[in-house]
Amino acid sequence: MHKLNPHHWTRLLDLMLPPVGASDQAAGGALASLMARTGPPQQASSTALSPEMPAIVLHRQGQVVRILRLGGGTLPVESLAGRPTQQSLRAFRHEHQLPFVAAVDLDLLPRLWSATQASVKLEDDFIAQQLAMLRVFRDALGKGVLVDPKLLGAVPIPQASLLQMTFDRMLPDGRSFVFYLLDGGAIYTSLIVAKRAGDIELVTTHDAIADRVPHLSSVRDARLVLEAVKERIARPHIGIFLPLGVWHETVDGDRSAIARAMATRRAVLDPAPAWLLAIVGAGIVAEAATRTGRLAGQLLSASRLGAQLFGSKRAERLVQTLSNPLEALGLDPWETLRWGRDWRRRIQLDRARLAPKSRRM
Amino acid sequence: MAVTVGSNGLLLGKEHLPLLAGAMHYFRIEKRWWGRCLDAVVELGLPVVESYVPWAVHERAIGRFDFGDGPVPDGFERDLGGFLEACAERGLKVILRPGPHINAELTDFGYPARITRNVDCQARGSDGNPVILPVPPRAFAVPSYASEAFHREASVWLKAFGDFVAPYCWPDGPVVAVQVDNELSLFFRTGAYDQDYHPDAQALYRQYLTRHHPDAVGTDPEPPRRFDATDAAGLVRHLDWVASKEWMVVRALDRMARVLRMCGLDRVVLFHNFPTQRWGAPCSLPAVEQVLDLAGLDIYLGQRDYAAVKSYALSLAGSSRLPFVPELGCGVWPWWFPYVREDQQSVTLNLLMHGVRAFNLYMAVERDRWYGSPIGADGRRQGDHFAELARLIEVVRGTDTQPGLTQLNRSVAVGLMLVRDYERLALCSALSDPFPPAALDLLGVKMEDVAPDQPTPGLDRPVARDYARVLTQAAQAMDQLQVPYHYVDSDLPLERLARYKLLVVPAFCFMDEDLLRRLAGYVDGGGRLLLLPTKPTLGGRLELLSQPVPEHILFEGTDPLVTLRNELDRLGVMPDLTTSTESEVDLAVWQDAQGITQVVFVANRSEKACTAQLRGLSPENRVWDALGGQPVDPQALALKSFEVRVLRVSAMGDRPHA
Repeated sequence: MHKLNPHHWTRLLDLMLPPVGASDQAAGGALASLMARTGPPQQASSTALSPEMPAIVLHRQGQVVRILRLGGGTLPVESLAGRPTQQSLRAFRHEHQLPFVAAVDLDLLPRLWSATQASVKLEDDFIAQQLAMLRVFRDALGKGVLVDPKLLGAVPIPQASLLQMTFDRMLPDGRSFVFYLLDGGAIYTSLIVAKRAGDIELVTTHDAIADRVPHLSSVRDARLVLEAVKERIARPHIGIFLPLGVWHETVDGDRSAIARAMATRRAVLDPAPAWLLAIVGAGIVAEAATRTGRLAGQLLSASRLGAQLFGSKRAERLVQTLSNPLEALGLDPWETLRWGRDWRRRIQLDRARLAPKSRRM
Repeated sequence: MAVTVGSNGLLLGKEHLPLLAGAMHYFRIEKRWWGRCLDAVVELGLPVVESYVPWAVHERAIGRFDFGDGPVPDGFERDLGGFLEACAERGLKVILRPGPHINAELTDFGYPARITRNVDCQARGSDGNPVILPVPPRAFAVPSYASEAFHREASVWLKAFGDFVAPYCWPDGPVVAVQVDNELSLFFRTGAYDQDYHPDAQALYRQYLTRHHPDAVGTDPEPPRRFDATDAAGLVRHLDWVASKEWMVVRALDRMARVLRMCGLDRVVLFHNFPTQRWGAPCSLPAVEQVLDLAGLDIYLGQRDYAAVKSYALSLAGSSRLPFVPELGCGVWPWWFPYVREDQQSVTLNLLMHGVRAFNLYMAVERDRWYGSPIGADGRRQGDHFAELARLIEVVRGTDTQPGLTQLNRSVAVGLMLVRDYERLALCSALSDPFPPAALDLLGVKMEDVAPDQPTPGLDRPVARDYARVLTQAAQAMDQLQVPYHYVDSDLPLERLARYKLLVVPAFCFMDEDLLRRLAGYVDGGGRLLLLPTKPTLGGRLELLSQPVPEHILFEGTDPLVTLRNELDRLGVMPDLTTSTESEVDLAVWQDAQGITQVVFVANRSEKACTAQLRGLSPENRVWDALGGQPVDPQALALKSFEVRVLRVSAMGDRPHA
């Protein structure tokens, strides 16, 4: 097992990634699959990108000179006449059923490229540097750069300090985050993260404790994992142990899936800070009017989470009083999840529509 | 006694050393685990271990370097001598890579922060500001390879490294090769007008003009800052600018190599590694091999990138002295595309299939900011991954009864030329400039996609676009005919071109006169030259040609497939062994020194699974899977999506591997 490497050349990341077992595929692949609805990790590729890639419109002096389809090929320039506007870009995106399209004035590109680099302060950490570059890009929107949909315009770009504060609240220094997905009585994939001095210091998987906990057939044995992580990496601050199916239900939009699974002892959140319980509990409250919500509420009443959430007279009031660090960023995790899910579905739909009559050249 | 480059490995005097290496960063691995890790490297079957030697780790104060075995309060081991002795004890040879640029996912790419913060060392964009590389773990200002201040600093480090390592060089010690700098692609920023406008770089540009084109010096000594050519004279200025930056790259490598040689490292192989990008490369492999012993390409691609991996292997096979991959992805850093074991095996086989003879598994041994290596940082063997790789390496190296893959030869009669002048034109006229070609390549954007449709200023057609199309069409035609070919760089010397019976050369209205002279020599030596689609009338500086175009066949107006087939028939180089599914399956035949077919690679170029039928095998031939050992029916060979299979071929009853 690796020791935690104590050197700190940078404040942002000092990752120690242990080997990944043969059966788990690469950690990156496994982690990338977390949001996948079905099956094992999809083969990713660095150049042979999928057909759901966006398009970039290059224009100059009022004329479209090239429309690049990322992943390979071009689209006919005639399909977007004249200088792109927000309206024409949207129509173009709908016509070609593109997930995303950006238009860039080629005469502006060198200046934008320069300004992006000039915005970077070398003494900042990486997140702050990225945010600064993102701000330059957002400032260029409408001034030679157009995007559709207007992602950047809709999402606030937080200050790095606020982001750091939120992160510190979610996962204090010297503590770890443990996330296990189980499927068919075995570990499907896992993620163990340790934080120190404000930064993620270690990202690993169950392989890091494989000699202590080689198998995990049930979430009920989660304490074995937590003890090993505490001894070897850092004391867990968050522990999430879910069946793969519950994870899929959750990312598919079922807000009460985790709570129901906890009530039936198929899932474990331990340890769970108040804000995490609030998020899980908020799912229950939001769905309280539904049949599954009522059922979950009944089940929860006998559970640990239920005791925490429903032990008071009004669960909703309790949920509201539990502080959610993400609120500072203006993010509702359920809404974010829903947005991501809708986005993914839209891309899949576009791909299905595009498949029989691709216009890629 | 010196180490030299052989055709399929290194030569230690007269002794052959397979250049099959695995990376292990001694400075990142606890010293107590070094022995176990190195034992695992030996067990994996690798005869060579490789490590970076980071400047920032060994520099304790300006000009004071620590290679000792003292305490490691910052977590970095520095006992390079101890590491080299541990390697020697196990019979392992060693490649060292002292940079000064090393990346390795280290902050500031392994440079001391005082270097990247020194404004005199920093590369400059066209606006005069520092060039920022926005990569984790922290964006930094990249050094200029023209900066005198930077070279002075780097020389101090390289000299300290060279003085320390010289006693460990072969034959006195295990060090057989040293890499000079790392992935010198101007930090993946090769856009024509992205950088380098450092004052010293601008001086070098003028020096380049003085040396190579003295008549051009007085016209406009200022380098262009965007593509604004409107006529032929203007175009030449831009081509000069790109060519001068290539010269700057080669010159920088030469300068750093000289420091190492002066320390006594002239008895080991000095080499360089470029990152892969299908267009906009910082310079050619042959240009670097004029100042170093060897140049290679690093490969971090997946199974689905079959076509790209193949093209890089064909480029290495055609354009480098020894087709060597100094970094072959073995695991990956966490902010890159996910990389799985299937990628590892598929990419390695793809490279070997198309001509790569040497590689360094990067990383063989796990370390921070990396996952997916076959050996843990404590020397633990990673189960199936380790076993699979060990088997693969055994097949590559061979056994007492079976020749290794790198000991076999492939008969390749056709060279498809990558012409530097047209590559430079594509770079300087790209619509996307200054956005880096390397980044566009990652997104799947090809040279043709960003080449203008309008005729090139001063010329009769859009040369960059047509060049890209011609290259693609020619390669597709040869794939369809199942004719083995290499990509050969137009910088290659005549003797390296002469090994091909046929050269297919994209040609437009202008062509470098020196290249034409070499092509004339090639034809005089009996080579066959095919130009497509036109015959040049102007030289590289767009002046009228001062020499006749050598005897050639012109493809213009004809079907390349038909013309090529006729020519190949005439030359007698059409392959004997083919497959039925010609459009989707690649095949590569490798033979021993006696010309007996020993190994056949078969690969599915497409995403769709297929069944291939091998044609041309003798009925008495038996075919076996070289890795698994199981018999294979050559009339019904199942291939999964982008799968590469390596088959042993032998006479009836002679089973190569059980």
